[in-house]
Amino acid sequence: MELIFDRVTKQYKNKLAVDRVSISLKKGVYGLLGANGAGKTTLMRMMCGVLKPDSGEILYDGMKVEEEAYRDILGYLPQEFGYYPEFSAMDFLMYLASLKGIPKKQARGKALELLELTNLSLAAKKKIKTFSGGMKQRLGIAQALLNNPKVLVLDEPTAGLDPKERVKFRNLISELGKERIVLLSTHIVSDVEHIADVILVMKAGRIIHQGSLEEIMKTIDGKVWECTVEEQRAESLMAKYSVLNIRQEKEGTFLRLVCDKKPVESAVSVEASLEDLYLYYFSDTRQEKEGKEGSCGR
Amino acid sequence: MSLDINEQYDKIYRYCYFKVNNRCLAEDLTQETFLRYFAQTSYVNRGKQLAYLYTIARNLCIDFYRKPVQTECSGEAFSEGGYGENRKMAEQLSDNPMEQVEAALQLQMAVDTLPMEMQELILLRYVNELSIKEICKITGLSRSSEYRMEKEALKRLKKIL
Amino acid sequence: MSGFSKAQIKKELGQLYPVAPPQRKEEFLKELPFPKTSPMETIGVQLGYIRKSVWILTLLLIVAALILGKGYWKDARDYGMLCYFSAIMPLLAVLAVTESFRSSVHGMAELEMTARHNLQQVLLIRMGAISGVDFLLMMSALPFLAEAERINVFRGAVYLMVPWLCTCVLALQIEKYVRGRDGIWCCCAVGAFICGISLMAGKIRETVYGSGKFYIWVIAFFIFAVVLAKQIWQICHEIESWNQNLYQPG
Repeated sequence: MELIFDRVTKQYKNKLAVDRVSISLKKGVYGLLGANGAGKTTLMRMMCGVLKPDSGEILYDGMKVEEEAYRDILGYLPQEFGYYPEFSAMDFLMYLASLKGIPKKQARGKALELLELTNLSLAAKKKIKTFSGGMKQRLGIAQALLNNPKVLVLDEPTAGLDPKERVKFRNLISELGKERIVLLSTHIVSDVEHIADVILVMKAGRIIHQGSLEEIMKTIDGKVWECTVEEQRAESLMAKYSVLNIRQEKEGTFLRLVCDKKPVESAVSVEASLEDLYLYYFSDTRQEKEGKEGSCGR
Repeated sequence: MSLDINEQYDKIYRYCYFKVNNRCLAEDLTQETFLRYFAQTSYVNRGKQLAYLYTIARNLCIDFYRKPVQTECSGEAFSEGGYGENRKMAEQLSDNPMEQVEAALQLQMAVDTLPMEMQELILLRYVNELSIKEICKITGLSRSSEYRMEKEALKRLKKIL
Repeated sequence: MSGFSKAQIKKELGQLYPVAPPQRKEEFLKELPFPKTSPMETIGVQLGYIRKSVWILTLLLIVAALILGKGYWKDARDYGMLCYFSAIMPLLAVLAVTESFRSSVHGMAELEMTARHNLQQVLLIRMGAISGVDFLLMMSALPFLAEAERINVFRGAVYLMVPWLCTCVLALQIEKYVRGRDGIWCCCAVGAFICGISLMAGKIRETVYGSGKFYIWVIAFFIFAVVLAKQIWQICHEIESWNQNLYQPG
């Protein structure tokens, strides 16, 4: 069970959405972390055979992802999806089951099972237009599982779920990831932290980091500092380094920032979190500083 | 309309058991039959496809005799008590009145005296409810031979009973 | 015991060869991703999802054309009936195309693209089914038409197919570039427009449908048919270019 991306590239007009991505995915849960416009959705769409790469190819156990046999083992939850009006949750699942080639009898059983799994059994006969955002999202997750997929691609799956639902979802995904390839993209860093076995950090179309949480964190380990300084100093620091958090306090301006060396005498080294890494890579100030000389120093 | 896989599983299982007389092995062969079938087609219809399914099962059973493979099942006693035993087992679970049970037992024993080919025909035709056309495709015999065999079988049974 | 009839034996034979139930069936069948629906079943199911209103409207339009055209039955060479029939053709075409592209209107396109029977197949089945029915109805109306207008069946067919093909081509192009509900409205507008032209052409019926100008119709027929074929090929093989707006960079 292996999904291989071989120098996959996709360009839109003058923007390179995906730039020579070459990764190999095996069993387990992969978290795709990246800012908006980083190419996440494009990459996922290509993974589903929905978009054709401009160059490079994606193979699942040697099979091209454009083939029908691949779609048989694929489950996809897009970032946004609609439904035919007047459809109830059950109708929706039955319709998609028919598209996935599942015979009616089996489809009915599977649909009921999945509605149970996503806590939608009571709403099975209700029309989707009466659903809340969270319910609709859960329905989306249910449809992705109809055909027992071996490859599960989820684009922002926890958007709209309340904390309790999110925990339930995390457990579900962990469970599924044991025997499948699961790729989920999200902005919610804590999701990735808790369920992903491997984190893929995507920026400007490239995968800049790939590894377990510990491995990824090494990049900014020991480089996150907190200090409280007076306003003028704060401003000069902010201009030089990536600031993760800023707060006005009585004593001055509280700053949490990333720097190779201690930025000020009073600064304290703190434990880095994935959130910090995310902000470090994807904040606007960072984008600006890319142009100038990179690292911290005096 | 494609056939219900649940039902077909039971029928193929029964057929394999008839051939190899071992429950565990029969189930292995049944599963292998389905895996091989679905490697090529994605649904089962009556007629040619159903016949093909049985043909795979039949060939697997024959192959097994040619070169017995080590399976999980090899440990068990190879041949279980014949259908007479099974019958008694099934009876305890059913609620047929005594006379019917006796008669059914007698019938089974009568059928057991027939040659294997005829028994196979009876199993496929009456128990698994295949059409003569389908059976011909499986066994490779012609329609007229099958009809003749069926007639002969019924005649003999009538004589015994 | 003895004295069983053949019929009785046959009945009892069905109970033979009992065997204890299989042990690992549930597990096996659960993991087995088969059977899938056969092609016939798939098409059948998809047809079931085509809205009934489409069939009803199609029938109504044909009936309307028949009724309105009937008035002209007595007048030979007036091309009135032909006029009405070719006026409903664009409307039928719009119905076919808009119904086929429902997926994008309701945001189901992306989900359908990743299914075994993906969006392209769904589109083709819907288009094929509705056009097929249109075609059959048209064929059955043709003999009446041909008789009423004293033209041969082949000529009548071309007169009917051209507005249909033309509208299909235009509607498909619209669906390519205009998303969702707007696309539907544009298609309807185009359909109504061509319908209007057909009705107005009634004023100059003689010129338009006269035998002298028939060759223009034949040329138009081939052009539209080829363009339509190309569009359909594109839908099958380059669905990406078809739904550009679906894929905003993200």
